Amino acid sequence: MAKKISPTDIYKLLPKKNCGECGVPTCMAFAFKIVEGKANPSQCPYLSEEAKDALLTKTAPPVVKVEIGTGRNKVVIGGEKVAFRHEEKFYNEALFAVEISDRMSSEEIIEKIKEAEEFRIERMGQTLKLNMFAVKSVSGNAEKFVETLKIVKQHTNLPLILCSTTPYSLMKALEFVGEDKPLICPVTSMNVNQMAVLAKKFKTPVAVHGSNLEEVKTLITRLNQFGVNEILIIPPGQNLMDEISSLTIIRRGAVEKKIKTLGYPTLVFPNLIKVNNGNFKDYWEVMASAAFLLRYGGIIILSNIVKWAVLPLMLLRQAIYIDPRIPLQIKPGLYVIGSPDENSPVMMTTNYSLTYHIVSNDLKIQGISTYLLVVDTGGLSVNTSVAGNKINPDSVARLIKENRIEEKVKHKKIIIPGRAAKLGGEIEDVSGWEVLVGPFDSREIKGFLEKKWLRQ
Amino acid sequence: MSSIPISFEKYEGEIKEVEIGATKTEGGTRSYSVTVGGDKYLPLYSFEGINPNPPRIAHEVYCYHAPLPGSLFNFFGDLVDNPVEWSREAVNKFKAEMVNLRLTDAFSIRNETFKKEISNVIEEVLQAVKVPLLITGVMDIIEMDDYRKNNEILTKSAEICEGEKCLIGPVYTNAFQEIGKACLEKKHPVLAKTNMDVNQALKLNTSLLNLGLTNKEIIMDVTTGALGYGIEYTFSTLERVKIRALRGDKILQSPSIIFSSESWLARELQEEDKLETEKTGITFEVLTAITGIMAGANISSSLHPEAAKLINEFVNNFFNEPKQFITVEEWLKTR
Ligand code: SF4
Repeated sequence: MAKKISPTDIYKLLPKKNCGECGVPTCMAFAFKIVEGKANPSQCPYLSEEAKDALLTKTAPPVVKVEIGTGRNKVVIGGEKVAFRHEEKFYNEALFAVEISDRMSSEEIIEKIKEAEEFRIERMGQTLKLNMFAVKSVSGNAEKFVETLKIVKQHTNLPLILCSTTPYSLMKALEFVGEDKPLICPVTSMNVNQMAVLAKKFKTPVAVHGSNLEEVKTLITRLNQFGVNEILIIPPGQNLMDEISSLTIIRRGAVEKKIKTLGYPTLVFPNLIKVNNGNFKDYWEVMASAAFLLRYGGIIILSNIVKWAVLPLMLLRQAIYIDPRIPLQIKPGLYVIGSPDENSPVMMTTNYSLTYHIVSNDLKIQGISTYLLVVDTGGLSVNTSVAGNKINPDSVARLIKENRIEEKVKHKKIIIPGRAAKLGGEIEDVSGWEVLVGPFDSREIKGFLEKKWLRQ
Repeated sequence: MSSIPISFEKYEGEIKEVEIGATKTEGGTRSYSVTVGGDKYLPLYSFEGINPNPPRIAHEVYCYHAPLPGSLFNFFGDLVDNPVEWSREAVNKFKAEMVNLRLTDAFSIRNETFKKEISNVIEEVLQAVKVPLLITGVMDIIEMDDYRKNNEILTKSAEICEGEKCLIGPVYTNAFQEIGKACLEKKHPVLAKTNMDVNQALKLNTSLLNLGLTNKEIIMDVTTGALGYGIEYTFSTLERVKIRALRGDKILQSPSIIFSSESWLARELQEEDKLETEKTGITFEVLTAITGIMAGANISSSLHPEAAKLINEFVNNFFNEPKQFITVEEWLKTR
């Protein structure tokens, strides 16, 4: 486990003026904020340069944060502090990059970009999408590479990864798109000096590729000597097990053993897995991607962007990067669905963001107008909150009172989720409202209302 | 310069091995038994050491009223109403190493005629297939009465399967006695279900250990949800339980299970006529299982045979025949 820095360590380096200009009343409070990652040392105007440097090194995440692209489409990877999400959280979501080759026709390229950009899913208040394009030079011809990039650039503003073994091709490419701050790769023992010069000149991040972790460290040391510090590591390995091992050693080595040369985010290629069987090839790319997502894969290059493959990966990424300390939840309270009147039903659900989104969506689709009470379960679903005794009948009663439901409808009936059936009696007792046990599934509410509500 | 670490922790504990299925020499009629657990390292930490038993897969067979989405009803066809034939098909056609007979439906358990029939089905399945069996009751407790139904049907199952070492459950923190005792008496391992809370798992295991069972007779289900529906809890709870057990907490030193089958409850998979729905569902199920396995699950209970096959390939890739990766340089030469 990683050792955490203590607020007193930070406090020692602060000016101890307790002037409050940093936004909190005391230096000690500021120290706590820094430790929690909620404040930045530069917010204190009285820090000496040395103290600031010392603080920045002390508080820097063990995995360097790398930015790729510029402006609105900039992406951030790295900045991680732990190896297990339950120890804190994972900070910057893994990124999906879509592969493009300079051997593809311009029609193919345009089509692929279009497909990738159109792939968007709204879920639990977030937009899930593909983040970048990885353009590779297969032709080995610098002009062809630049031509391809011209087409790409015409059709997308997403950040780019430029892949070529020839530094000359990369230089030509950078002369064209260098200002967009693409990631360039691979840096190998063969080309490290030239790549370092390019990275320096165009201020672009690079990804290193060695046959083992020792070689990776040597390459990184070399890049650092050139002053290049925006680096990603391609985990060495000849198969998935090897790569997962490398990824684990890189992350835990950086976080727990404080090995600076391993403290960088990673770039992985699930599409490099060799599979003979045609049908399973697609599945293998997804399976390897999932394994990478779960074990510290940073940027993940995909060749296949069909929905059945990408949707599940997107959901997995969203799940792994949810802050385990604060589940995605919405504010408890009264939500008005449709245009309810005094005869409309009153319903109850929990404040787990996903539960709420599903239920409110289902209600809208079925054209139901209702007052929906959202109970605070600490962001748990109906199922888990019932199992863990997280639905408090008193708070249901309080919600009814606080939101003056009695003045809004002329009945005293509340429909609770089928899965919360066993709480019905208690809710009736403390609220004085009659409880109707609804269906297990919110898609069945319409049928339920027809039977149990409209007939009354 | 510091060298590359080859180990991060010295673990004091290890997960006990649980055996499912008893052969003739052990007093049963299974043609082989399956051993799970025995982990000494975190999953896929091959640089630290290799765990003795790879994760295993059980194919699910529903004993009536299978809660399947439309696309799966189409896939299984007539098998859906015929658990015996379904078991046979699972083993012969889909090469199931274990079968999980799910007496999942509260309605059929409540119903007296069905109850009798379920007993018959279990007996017939024991005859029809010779692989190790899991027998699971209502997993998703809705009302207090469900506990009673589970007690009834599962203690009955423990009797019918005496000597066969079936994995039987679920038992819960507030409903473990009857089933636990029946399993102890009839020598079956027990499936212990808790919800996303390490302390709950500790509590239930302690209760089971107090009954006289050992860690070699407990499989833990600490999962909460499948992909898109709480898998983040599933992942982290599995990880925390495994780490804690390896660090020496004796009470938690039993293997874990994940129900990848739960993936099919996802909203995204309920469209009946969409061609891609089935393929998407298979991927949901595979990713759910992978998430569980990488966090420490020792068994995946899976529904779609294609998903089971892929999960099996995934596991094999780590334990038997790893698929090679082409190098980045080679990739830069293809297409
Ligand atoms: S601004 Fe600086 S000196 Fe003033 S209270 Fe904050 S940390 Fe202390």
